[in-house]
Amino acid sequence: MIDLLQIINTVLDNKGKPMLESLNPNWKLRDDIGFNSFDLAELTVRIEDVSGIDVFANGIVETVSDILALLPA
Amino acid sequence: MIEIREAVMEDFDLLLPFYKQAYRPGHPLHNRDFFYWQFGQSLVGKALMALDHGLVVGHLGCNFADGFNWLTNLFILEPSRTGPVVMALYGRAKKMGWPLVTTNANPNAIALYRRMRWYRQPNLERYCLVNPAYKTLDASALTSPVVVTEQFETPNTNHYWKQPGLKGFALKNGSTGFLQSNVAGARLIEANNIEETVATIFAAGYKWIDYVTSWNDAMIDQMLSANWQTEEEANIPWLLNPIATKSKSNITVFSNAPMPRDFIIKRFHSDHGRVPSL
Repeated sequence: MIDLLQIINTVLDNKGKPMLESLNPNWKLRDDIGFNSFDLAELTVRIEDVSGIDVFANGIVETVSDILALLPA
Repeated sequence: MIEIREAVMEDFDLLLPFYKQAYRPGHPLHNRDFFYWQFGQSLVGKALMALDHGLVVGHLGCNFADGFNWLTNLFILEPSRTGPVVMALYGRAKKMGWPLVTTNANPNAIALYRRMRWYRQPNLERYCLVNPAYKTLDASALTSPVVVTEQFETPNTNHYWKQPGLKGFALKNGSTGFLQSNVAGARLIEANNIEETVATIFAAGYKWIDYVTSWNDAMIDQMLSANWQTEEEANIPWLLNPIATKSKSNITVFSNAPMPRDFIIKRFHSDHGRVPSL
């Protein structure tokens, strides 16, 4: 089971932003979490490191639920 | 809804306004024939585009050579630049299967490769030699046109030589390159018997010759022994369309997987060898 919250918090922490206590599946990665393209790059690598999945391989991923749908349950 | 897909030739008219917005006037991708050469034949290259409501907002070029996917022409229009478009383009490129390599990254792209944890390879190295008959000339005079009547054989060993606007040469000793009489120079791509090659090119009337390669190319030792200079020592500009007299090559190389230790990056591998840009 991949802890997406922990991965997102690692990226946020690396850029000096407050970490999240929970994730809302409807949150947009850019508008609600505040990720820019560099943060999305780091997020992609960190997810791929633990899952082997490039979440962007099949197109645009915009929300937390978009990522969760691609990860193994 | 943003869609990522591979461009086909019929998409050129859709891409042209994007290319004109993204790139300087006269950029080679404004030319349909150049687009066909670079991205119109799927065995050698593809352009990935991001479409937002039917308009192109992002682009990534892919060229396939020697077991790598050489990425070029990454550009995202401003409103989409901070979003997921760029990662979706890279994700689709990675899905093509080959390891990804890119050369000549701009500072923003370098930051992106850092965050994607790509491997940074040594910058490419450029070596130059001025024809002794012209060794006192400054950069402007060195790159003033020459009239050359000598005809050389045309190389045909790979797709690179079909590039629109390229005037290639192939010598019997195996050296290849392209000629730019409008700036009086020859640009070597495959180097063999370096002294004979130089003598042939200079005898034809060219004022200078240059060569861009990986740091591990053994040819560098031969060139230095034959009085070639690094581009810092020489005064031959890198960019000649238009001529930028102080320009240096400064070609970065990033890859998403380690490259073989003996791999040598040639001009025909990526966009640093595209003639109309040079």
